Amino acid sequence: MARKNRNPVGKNVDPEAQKKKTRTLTLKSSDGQEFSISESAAVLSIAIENMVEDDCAGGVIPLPLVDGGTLARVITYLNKHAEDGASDEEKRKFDEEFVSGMEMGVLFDVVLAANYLDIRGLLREVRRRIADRMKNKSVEWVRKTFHIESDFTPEEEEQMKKEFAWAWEGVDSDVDD
Amino acid sequence: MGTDGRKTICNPIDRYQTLRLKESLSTPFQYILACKELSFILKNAYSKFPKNLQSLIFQDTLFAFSLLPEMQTQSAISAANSLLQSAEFTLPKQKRATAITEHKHAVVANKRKSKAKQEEEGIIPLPQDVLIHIFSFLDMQSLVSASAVCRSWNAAASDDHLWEFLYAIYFCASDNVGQNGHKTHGETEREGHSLNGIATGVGIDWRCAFKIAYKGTCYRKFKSYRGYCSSCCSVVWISSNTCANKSNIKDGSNHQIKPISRQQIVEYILDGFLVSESSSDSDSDTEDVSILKLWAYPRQIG
Repeated sequence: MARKNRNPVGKNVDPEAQKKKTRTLTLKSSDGQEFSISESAAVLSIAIENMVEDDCAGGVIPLPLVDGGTLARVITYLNKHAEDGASDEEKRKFDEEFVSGMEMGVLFDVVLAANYLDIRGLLREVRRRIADRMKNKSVEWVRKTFHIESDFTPEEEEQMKKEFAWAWEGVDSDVDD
Repeated sequence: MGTDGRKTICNPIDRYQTLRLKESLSTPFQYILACKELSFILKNAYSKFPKNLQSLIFQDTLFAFSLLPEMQTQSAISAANSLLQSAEFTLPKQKRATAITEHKHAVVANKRKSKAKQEEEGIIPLPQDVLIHIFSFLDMQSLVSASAVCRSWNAAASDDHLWEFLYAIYFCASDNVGQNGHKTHGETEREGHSLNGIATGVGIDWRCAFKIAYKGTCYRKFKSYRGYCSSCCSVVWISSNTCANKSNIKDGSNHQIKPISRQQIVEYILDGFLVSESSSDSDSDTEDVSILKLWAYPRQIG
C-alpha cells in the first residue's frame, strides 16, 4: 500500500498533531549542550510529554541526567520513530542497526536515559540487547564484559556454585537428544 | 673520579639517584613500594641530607603526589598518605604547605578520575528495576548465572516475578490451557498456594518452586532453550519476557510460550507448525504436578 498522505494537508490530519510537527522544543543535556527537536518526536518520551503537557517546558527542557552524547543518540532514535514515511519494517531495521554497534558503556547510558525519559520502544530494544550479551555466558565472562567486580566472598561463591548446580542438571549431556 | 678502577659514588645525591625512585614512581605496579621508600627516606634522613638532595627529595615527593590520580588502588592512596605524614613531620614550613596542598589536589583528582573511569567503563550500577527488566529477557540458566555476578545483580535476579513467569512458561503452558494467559497464571497461583501456602503463609518463593518443579521433570523439553509461541506461530528463545523475539507488541495479546524439545523444533522446521505432543504430554504434565507435590513438603523442612 503506497503512502499517499505525505502532503501535510491530508484529509484526516489532526490539526493538533500538525502543530506538534512544526513546533520545536529545545532539550538541554547535563553538560549544557542544546538540541532542537520537533515536538512530535520529543513526546515519544513520556517524561517529556508530561513536561510539555504540564507546560513547564518554557522554551528549554533541561535533562540533568542525560549527557550530550547520549542525548544525541536518543534524539536520532526519536526522529526516526516520528518520521512520517517510515514503515514499521523500516523502523525495526533502524532499531536493529541503532543498537547493534553500541559498546557496553554506551548501552548502559542509553538504557538509563531511556528509563529516565520513559521511551518504551527504545528501552525495550536496549534492554533486550543488553540481555543478549549475557545469555549463555559464564559468570566470569559476564563480569568481564560488564566490568563488574564480584563483591562476594570466596566462601559465598563456593556456596552459590553448589546452590545453583541444579540449573545445569541435564543440560550438558546433549548427546542423547 | 675514582682512581681505583671502580667508580665509587661519593655524592649522596648521585647515590639517591641510583635508586631511580622517580622512575619507579611512574611505574604503576611499583608506585606503592617507591612511595613507601621515599616516605621512609624523608622521615628518617631528610635533615641529614645536603641542601641539593633535600630539594630533590622534596621535588620527588611532589612528583609522587602528582601521579596519584593515575593510580587506581586503595593501597596507592594509603601509600601516598604515609608519604604525606612523613612530609608533614620533616619538611620546613613552606615546603610542608606546598606538599599538603599538592596531596590534597591529588586525592581529589584521584577520586574524580576513578569515578569518571567507572562511568566510562559502564560500571555505573543500573537501578534494580532496569536490571529486572533486562533479566526478563533471559532464559533460566542465564538468569541463574546473572545472580552469581554480584550482590545487586543477585537481588535483581531473585525477583519473584521473573521466576513466577518462568514457572508459568516452563510448567504451566500445556495445550489444554492455551487461550488465556491470565487464566493459566491464576491457576498457577492457586496451585502454588495449595502447595506451599500452608507453611509459608505469605506468597511463594517462586525460585524455590521453580527449582523443585524443574528437578522433578525430565529435562528433555527444556534442553533446547526453545519455546513455541502459539500467538505468533513461531519458535522463540525462552525467557520470562514472553516472546522476546517479537518487537511488535502492539497487538497486546498475551503470547503464550510452551517449552519444546529439539525434536519438536525439527518437526516445526519440517512441517512449519508444531505437532502438539499427544495425550502423553498431558500425562507427563500431571506427573510433573504429582512430583511437585511430593517435593513440596521436604522443602518446608529444609
